[in-house]
Amino acid sequence: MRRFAILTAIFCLLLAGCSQDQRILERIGYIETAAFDAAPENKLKATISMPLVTQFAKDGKTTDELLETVSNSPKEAKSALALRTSRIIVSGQIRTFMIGDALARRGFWQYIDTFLRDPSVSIRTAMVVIDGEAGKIISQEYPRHTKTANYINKLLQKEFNKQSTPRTSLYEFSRDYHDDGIDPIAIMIKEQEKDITISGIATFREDRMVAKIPWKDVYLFSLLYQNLKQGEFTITTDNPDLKAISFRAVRSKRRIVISKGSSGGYEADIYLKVEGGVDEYIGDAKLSSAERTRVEKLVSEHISHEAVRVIQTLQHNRTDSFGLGKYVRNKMGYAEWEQTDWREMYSEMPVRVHCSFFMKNFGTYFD
Amino acid sequence: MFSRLLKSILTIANQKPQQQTSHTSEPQTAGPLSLKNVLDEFRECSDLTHRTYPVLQADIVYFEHLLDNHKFTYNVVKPLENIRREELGALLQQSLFQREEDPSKVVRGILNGSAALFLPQGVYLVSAYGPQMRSIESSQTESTIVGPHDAFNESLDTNLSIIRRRVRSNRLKVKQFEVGEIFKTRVSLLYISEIANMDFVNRMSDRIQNIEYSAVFDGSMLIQLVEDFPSTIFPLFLTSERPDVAVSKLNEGRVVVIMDQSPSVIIGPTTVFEFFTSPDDYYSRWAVGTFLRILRYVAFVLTLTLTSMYVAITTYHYEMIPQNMLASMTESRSRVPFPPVLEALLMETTLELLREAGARLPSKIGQTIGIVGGIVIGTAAVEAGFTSNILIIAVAMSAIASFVIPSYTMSGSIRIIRFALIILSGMLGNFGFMFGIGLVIIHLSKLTSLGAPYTIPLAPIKTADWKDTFIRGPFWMFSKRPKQSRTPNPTTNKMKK
Amino acid sequence: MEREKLNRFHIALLVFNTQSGIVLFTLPRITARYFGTNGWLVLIPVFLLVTLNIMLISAVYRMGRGKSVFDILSASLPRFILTPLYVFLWALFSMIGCLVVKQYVLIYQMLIFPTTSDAVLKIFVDVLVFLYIIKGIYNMSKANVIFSLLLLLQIPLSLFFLQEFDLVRLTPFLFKEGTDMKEGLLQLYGAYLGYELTLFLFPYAENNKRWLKYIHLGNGITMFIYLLVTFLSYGFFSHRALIHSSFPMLDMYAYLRFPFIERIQNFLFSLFLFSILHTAGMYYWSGQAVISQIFRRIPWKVIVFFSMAASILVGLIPKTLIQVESWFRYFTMVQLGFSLGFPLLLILLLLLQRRFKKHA
Repeated sequence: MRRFAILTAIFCLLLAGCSQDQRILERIGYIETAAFDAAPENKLKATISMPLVTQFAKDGKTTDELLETVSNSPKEAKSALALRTSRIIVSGQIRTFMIGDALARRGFWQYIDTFLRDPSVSIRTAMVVIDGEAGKIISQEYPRHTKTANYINKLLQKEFNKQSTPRTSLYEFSRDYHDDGIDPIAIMIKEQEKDITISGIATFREDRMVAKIPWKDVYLFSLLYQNLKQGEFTITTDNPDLKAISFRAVRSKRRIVISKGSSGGYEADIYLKVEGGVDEYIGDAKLSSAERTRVEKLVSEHISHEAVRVIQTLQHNRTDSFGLGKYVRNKMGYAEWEQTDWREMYSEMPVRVHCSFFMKNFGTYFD
Repeated sequence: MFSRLLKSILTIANQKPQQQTSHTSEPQTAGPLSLKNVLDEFRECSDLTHRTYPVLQADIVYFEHLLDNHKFTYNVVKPLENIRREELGALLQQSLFQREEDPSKVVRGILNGSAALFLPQGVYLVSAYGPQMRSIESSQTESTIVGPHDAFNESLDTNLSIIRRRVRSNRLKVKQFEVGEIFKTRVSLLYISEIANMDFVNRMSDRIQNIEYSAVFDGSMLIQLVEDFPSTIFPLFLTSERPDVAVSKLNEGRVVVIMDQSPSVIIGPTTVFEFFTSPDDYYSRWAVGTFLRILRYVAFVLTLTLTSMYVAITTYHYEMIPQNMLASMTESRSRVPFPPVLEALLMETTLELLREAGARLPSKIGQTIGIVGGIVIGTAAVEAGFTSNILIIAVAMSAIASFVIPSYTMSGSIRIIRFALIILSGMLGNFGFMFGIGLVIIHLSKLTSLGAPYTIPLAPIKTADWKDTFIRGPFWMFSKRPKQSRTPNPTTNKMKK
Repeated sequence: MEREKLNRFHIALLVFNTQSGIVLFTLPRITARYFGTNGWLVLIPVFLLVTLNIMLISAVYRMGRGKSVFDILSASLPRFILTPLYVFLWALFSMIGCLVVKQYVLIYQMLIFPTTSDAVLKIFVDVLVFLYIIKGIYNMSKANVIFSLLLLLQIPLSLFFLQEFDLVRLTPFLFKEGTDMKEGLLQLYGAYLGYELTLFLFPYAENNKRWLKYIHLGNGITMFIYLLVTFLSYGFFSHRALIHSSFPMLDMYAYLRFPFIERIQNFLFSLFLFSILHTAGMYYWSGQAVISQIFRRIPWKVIVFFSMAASILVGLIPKTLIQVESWFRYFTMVQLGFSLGFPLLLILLLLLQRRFKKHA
C-alpha cells in the first residue's frame, strides 16, 4: 500500500515536473553550420544554416534554412535569429564553425567563449577559416554537390579522417590556445568556381590569424605537426630523376630533439621518418633496381629542404603552429621558461629537419 | 487499494464453499462404517459405480473413470469372480487389499481412485488409480533442438516416474503434501538428500503446508503462493516442463516441487540469471553455448533499452544522434503528430495486442494475425504518418530480443519494466532512464528466493560461479555446485562419506 | 533468518563507491588549479595520508575486538556528553548526504534541464536514496556491487583517449603555477572522504580481521580511478586548458564518438546517479546509525525518513552550485576532523578502558 502511494507520488511529480525542457527532434532547428564574419564597428555577422526536413517529403529531401544577422555576440545573434524561425534553435548539432578571414585576423576568442560555455556544443565541431566571406559561402548553392552545409561538412570530415590535413576542431583549437608551447591552427577553405576547395591552413598567434600555409605545403606541415598513420602526397621537382612522384599509405613518425648549441642558444632537430608506397612516378630512375635508394634520398632531401622552408615562414610569422615550444619548454627548467620570451626566441631559433624516406613498395608496375 | 478489495472479495468467495465442505465432502464419523453411509456421502454423484456380487455378498464402489481398467480387472474383478467363499480370507491377506475402518478414509480412498470392497468381513480398499492421461509428449513451450524431448505432463505419477528414471539413486527423496481444502491437489517436493540444503527443503515444505488458498491449478500459480515477495514482478522460482532441467537443478542442490495436474514443475532457490539459461547451452559445444548465453544478455539489454533510448534521445538528447542518422530520423519523425513517448507507447501497446492475440488464437489463425499485424504496423502505420519507421525498427528489434529470453515469465516481467522505462525516459530523458534502472537494481538486490539471494553470483559476488552464469564454460570447469544452494557436498561428483 | 555478514569484497566496493562520485568530474581541474603542472601526482601522497587514517580505523577495530563504536563510547562516556555528540554527527552526515545529491542535481540541471526546478530533480534522487537505504545495509551492499560494476565498466573507455593523449603536454615541471596548495590539499582529501564511514560497519562485518584490508583495497580502487582520470586529462588537455574547464571529464566524454551514438556525456553523467545514490545513501545510513543510539524505540526507517526530510529542507537554502560547493567545503573540513579525531578518541577510550580493567 505504502509502496503504491510512493509510486503514485513519483508519477504525479513526473507529470508535473518536466516538459518545458523537451527538445523533440522535429520541433527543433538544429544549426548545422554557423558562419561568422567581421562586420563594421567591431560587430559580428552571423549566418546559420539549419537543415529543414520538409514534411511529407518521400525522398527525404531537405532544404537548408538560412538566417543571417549582425550583432555583438554569437548568442545575441542566436536570439535575434530565433525570432525568424518556426523552430527552436539549438546548437547541439553544430558540425562546423566557419570564420571569415577578416574576423579571424581581427581575433575571435571572445566569441569562442560561448561555445565552450554551452554544454550542448560539441567540442568536436570543426573550426574552419574561410578565404573570403563565410556567410557568402554557406548562402551559396552548389548544384553539383549536396546541400552546402552538408557538403562542407562531409568534405572536412573526409579530409580529417584521411589525415591529409591536421584535424582542427574546437577541442584542438581551445587546447592549443590555452597551452603555452603551441599556437592554434585552423583549416581553410575557399570557393573555387562551382566548388569548394580546401585551400590551406590558417596559422594563429594567440587568437589572431597571421598567415596561411598554402595547400601545396600542407603535407609538409602535416608531417611536422603529427605522426601520420595514413595520408598521401605528391612531390614535383625539376630533377630528371624525380619529375613527379606520388605516395599513398604514408606513415610518418616525427621526433623533435632540442639541444643547446655551442653558442648557448637552443637548437631544434626534427627527425622525420616517412614511409609510403609509390602510386605514380615520372622520372628516369628504375624503382626496382638499386636506383630506388637514390630516389629515396632525393625525396628525403626534398622533404627536409621544403620543411625547413615552411618552418622558416612560420618562424618569420612568429607562429609556433606545430608545437616546438612544448619541446623547448620541457627541456628547460620552469624558471628559465618563464623568463624566456618564447616568440622572440622561436623566430631566431635554428631548426634542422632530417628526413629519412623509405619506399615500402612501388605498386604493380615493374620497371 | 484495488488489490486489497480484490483480496477481500476472493476470500469471501473462498469461504463459502469451505463452509459447505464441512458437511458434504468431509464425511462425518458419526455414522458407522456401512455401505449405506458411504453411498449416502456420494448421493447425487451419478458417476459413481456400484457393483454387487450376491454370491460373495460383496459390494464394490468406485469411480470408473479414475481407475485403470486393466489393473481393476486383474486385481479386483477377476479374483472376485473366480473365487470361492472359503478362499476369500486368503485373498484378502494380500497387501493389495487394505482394510479400512474409518468411513471418512474410505470416502477419501474412493476419491483417490481406489475401489472400495464391502464384504461381510469388513471394508477393503484396492488401489487401481490410473485415469486417462495425456501421454508423454515433447514440450511446446521449451523446445530444444538437441537433447531429450520428453516433457512433463499433468500426471504427478508420470512425472515422478520420469524423474526417477533419470535419478537412479535412493538419495532422491519425495515428500508428499495436499493443497486446497476441496481439491486436495497432490504436491510432491523432491530433493536429493545430502546435496540439497535442508534449510531450503524445510522452508519449502513449511510454505506448501501453510498455503491458504482453496484451489491451485498450476505450478505457476503455486509459485505465487510460496514466494518470498508476493508483489514483486520478477518470478522468484524457476518453472520448467523439461525433466532434464529439473534433474540438473536437483543435482545442483535445489528443491523441485511437482504438482499434480500441472506439467510445469517449480524449482527453487533460483537466481535471476537462471532465467537466461536454456538446456541447449549445455547440449551445444561450450563455445557455442557461451555465444548463445551472451547473445541472450545482449538481447536483454536491447529489449530493455532500445525503445526507451529512442524516446529519451528524440525527446531530450538530440545531440546524441550521429550526423548520418539525423536527417532520416528527423524526416521520419516529422510526420508523426504525437510526442515520442506517446508514439512509442502506442507502438508497444499494438505489439502487445498482437502478441496477446496470437497467443490466444489457434495457431492457424495466429499466423493470419502475424501477417495482418506485420502489414498494418510495417507499412500502413508509417505511410499514414502514425509512427516513424526508426521507431518501428526499435520496437521490432526489442520485441525479437524479448523472444530470445527463454523464460516466458521473465520476458513478461521485462516487458513491464520496459513500459515503465519508456514512460520515465519520456519524462526525464536519460535521467529518468537511469532512475528506472536504479529502481530495478535496488529492487532486485532485495529479492530472495527461498531466503537465498536472487542476484547471487553478481551480488553477493561469487566469481567462481560466473563461469556458468555469464558464460557456459567447458564441463571440466564445473566441479563445484553453485554457491547459492549452500550444499553440504560442494564437489559435484564426490559425496562426502 | 540469521543476519548475513557483509562480504569483504563488498566492503571494498562500498568504500570505493562512497569515496568517488561527482568529484571525479572536477578533480582534474582542482588539481590543475591548486597544484598547477602535474598536479595529479598529489593524489598519491593524499592517498597515503588516507591509508594512515584507515589504519587508525582498523586499530580501533583490533583494539576493541570488533566492538561497535557506540559500545566503546557508551562504556566510558556519560550520556549527557554522548547525546550532543550523536546529534552533531547525525546532522553532519545527513547534510553531507543531502549536499551530494544537491550538487549532482544542480550540475544536471545546468546540462539538460535548464528550466526544470532542481528541487523536482532532487526529489527523484531522494526517493531513490530513501528506497535504497530502507533495504538495509546488507542489501545496499548487494545493490552497490551492481552499481560499482556499471561504473567501473567505463574504464575501457579510457582507451579512446589514448589517440589524443600526448605526454609532452604533461610538462616536466612539478607543481608550478599552482595557486593555493593548502586549499587544494583540503579539496583532494575531501575527494577521498567516505572511508571513515566504515567505523559504523564494525557490527556488520565478518568477525575476522581480514576485511580491514579490503578497506584499503576500496581506497586503492578509488585512487586508481582518480589517477587514471586526472592523468589522462592532463595529457588530453594540458594543465592550462584544464583550469578553464569546469568539468574536464564531461568534455572528455563529449569527445567520444561511436558509429551509432555520439556525445554520450549526458548518458554517462546519468550513470553517475548510481555513485551519488550510494554516497548519499551511506551518509544518511550512518546518520541514522548514530541517531538511533538516542532514539532506540523509533523504528530506524522512520528515522531515515525524518532525517532525510529535515536535511532536504535545509538543503533548499543554497541555490547555486557555487554556494553548494562552499557549503561543502565547510562540511568537508568538519568531516575531515571527524575522520581523524573520532578514531583517535576511540583509541584513547579503549586504552583507558584497558588500563581500568587491569587495575580492577
